[in-house]
Amino acid sequence: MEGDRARDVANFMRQCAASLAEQGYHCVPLPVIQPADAYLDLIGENARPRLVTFVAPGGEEMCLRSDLTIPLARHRLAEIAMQPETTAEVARLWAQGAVFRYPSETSTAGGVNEVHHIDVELMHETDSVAADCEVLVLTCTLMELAGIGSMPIRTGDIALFGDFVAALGLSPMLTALVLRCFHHPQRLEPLIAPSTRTKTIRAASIADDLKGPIEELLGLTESHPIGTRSTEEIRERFLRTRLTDMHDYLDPDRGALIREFLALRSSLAAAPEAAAALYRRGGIKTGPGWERFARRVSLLLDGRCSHHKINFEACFGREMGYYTGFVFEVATDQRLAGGGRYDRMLQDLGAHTAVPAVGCALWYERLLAAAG
Amino acid sequence: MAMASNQGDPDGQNNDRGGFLAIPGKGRIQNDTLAFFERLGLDPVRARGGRAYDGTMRGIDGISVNFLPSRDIATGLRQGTIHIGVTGEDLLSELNDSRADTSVAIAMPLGFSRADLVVSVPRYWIDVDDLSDLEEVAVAFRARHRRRLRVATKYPNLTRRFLASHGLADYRIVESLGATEGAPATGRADLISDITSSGATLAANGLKTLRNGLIMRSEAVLAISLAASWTPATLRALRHILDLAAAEHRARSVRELRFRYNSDDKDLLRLLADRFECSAPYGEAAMMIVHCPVRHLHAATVCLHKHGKEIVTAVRTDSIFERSNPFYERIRNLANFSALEGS
Repeated sequence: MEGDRARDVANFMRQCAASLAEQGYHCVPLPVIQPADAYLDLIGENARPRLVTFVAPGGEEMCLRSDLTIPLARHRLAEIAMQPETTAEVARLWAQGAVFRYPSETSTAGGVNEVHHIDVELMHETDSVAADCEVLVLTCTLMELAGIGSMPIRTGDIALFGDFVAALGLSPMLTALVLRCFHHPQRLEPLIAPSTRTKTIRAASIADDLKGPIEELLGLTESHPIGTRSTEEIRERFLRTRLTDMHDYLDPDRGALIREFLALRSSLAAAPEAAAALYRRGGIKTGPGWERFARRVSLLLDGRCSHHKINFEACFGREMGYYTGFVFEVATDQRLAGGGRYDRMLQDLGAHTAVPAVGCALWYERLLAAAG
Repeated sequence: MAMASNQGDPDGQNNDRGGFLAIPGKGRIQNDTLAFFERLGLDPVRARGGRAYDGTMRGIDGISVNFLPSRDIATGLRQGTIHIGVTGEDLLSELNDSRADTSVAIAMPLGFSRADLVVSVPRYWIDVDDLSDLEEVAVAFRARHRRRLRVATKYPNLTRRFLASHGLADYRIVESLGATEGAPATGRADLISDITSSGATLAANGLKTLRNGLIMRSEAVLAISLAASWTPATLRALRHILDLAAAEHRARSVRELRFRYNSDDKDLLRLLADRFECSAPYGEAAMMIVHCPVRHLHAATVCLHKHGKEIVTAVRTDSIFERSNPFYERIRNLANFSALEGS
């Protein structure tokens, strides 16, 4: 029994390695021990409860990797630093191995969970739609190697919401606040105006009048300001949030539109039109984000994944820490595979320029078990 | 988890060393704790002129007293090296791995060393009053300064759990070993979470507390370890302390009212019970005695006067021993002590 399973896994890994090599992907060995900061800086303190951390002899806080994506990104970053001439070259990387997490957020009792991932990442490809499709197709190929015939696949697109909100033409501050509603849906209601009138601000001129009094107010609190926020930051936010009759709100119609957008759910095929209909209702034009979305949908439907049941959910990706665009997941009662686009990660890790990146992690033990 | 046997002591070596009671070794909490034990008629004495870390408790057998930093008492209780300890509830909660953590049980709150654990930001941040302001600032800060807000604290677990429950994740915790209030001024952190009693230290350091920034209210507590190995002797010592404490606690919370009583007054007794939560510990008698909660004292005597009782005396008692000790009953089940009793 054990021997059979081990043989299945070995066969599967061999086939994966061959298939990935065929597609131009290089296998990268990655250290199990990573600096804890890499995870905590990218994901925030919420990453900590399940992260297996310890302090190295030199005092630096380290951890056991809880995924392979961040170590791969760090690896690529190190490569770029060593060979800057390769900076813009498309990199196709994959890795496999154990990742570690505490099983529960509330307790470290019960030891450490060790699962095995295969992880594929495609970086520097400027045609983001082609790259998104390549990764999803590759994921399906690897799933088929595990014996999975057809699976429901959930997809979303965080950048599509960004495109929609941008098209609404709100003030920069209100746009930023609305965008945050993607991850915090309960923040939408307070942004909607209590009355039917849209209040707009002429903040620039009023702010000038108030500059003096606010400086005085700040001066009263402290002779030497402490902390790292500048007077300008504080004054700007104070004006925007405290002087409430100058606060601009969402009118109820646009608020309802945004709510409806976030509630969009359909088959992938129906998604572009469903989204476009909402743009039309709002009297706004679809932007480059919608174009990319539509192009991706048609490429996916024409391609190798088309026999899987792919859906679209506008709010999918809410809980996924660092994704910025296309996101997808294959799950039964457990996650079997999941990934997406994360264009900010390398820069957040210290790269000088933004590096477009998209990838996927596969829980291959679960895939093999699901295939039976 | 809680074993009433020689867990952690398979060879039975520790049987004769007795249990360990730990008391804070310095500060106001030490004075208040010593006063608490003295009120119970117990007498904790530090050995060798009050400078040693060990001592005795006159009046209790089977237990030796250690004077330790409050933080060490909290860890000792969790690990089971200390059986009974006085320490801050904040320190115990900070070490608590999860809500289901069963290594320490609080036997009773002690009512002193009260302090609040709060989130505080520079007063200069006039645009930040509450946690939702802080959340917005955290997001904007990261975009502007290319790093996350840093929160200095001695309570990373409590702080993290609290901020997570309010939807904040865009920050980093910087562990502080001392002088946390000074961290924003020296640039080590952008804001803090820290214990405060009067708020004076915070104000002196140019900080203010967020409106909904109260993480927890803390006070000194008497706690017992469920991870330690308890023997019948150690349990007897615990029971002894808790009996004295419960008796003193009950006595402090009521006054003994005395008035003349006859068989027509049955309804009056019922009225006293329903409206003023009075109990009649000795039943009916010509010289009636009821125990009345202190907060109802005046109202109860007014009522008695209205019912024709000319003189009502109120007596403060030292200790009221009830056969069933509420403090003990609470932890008895948690620690599964019934196996050790009756020996």
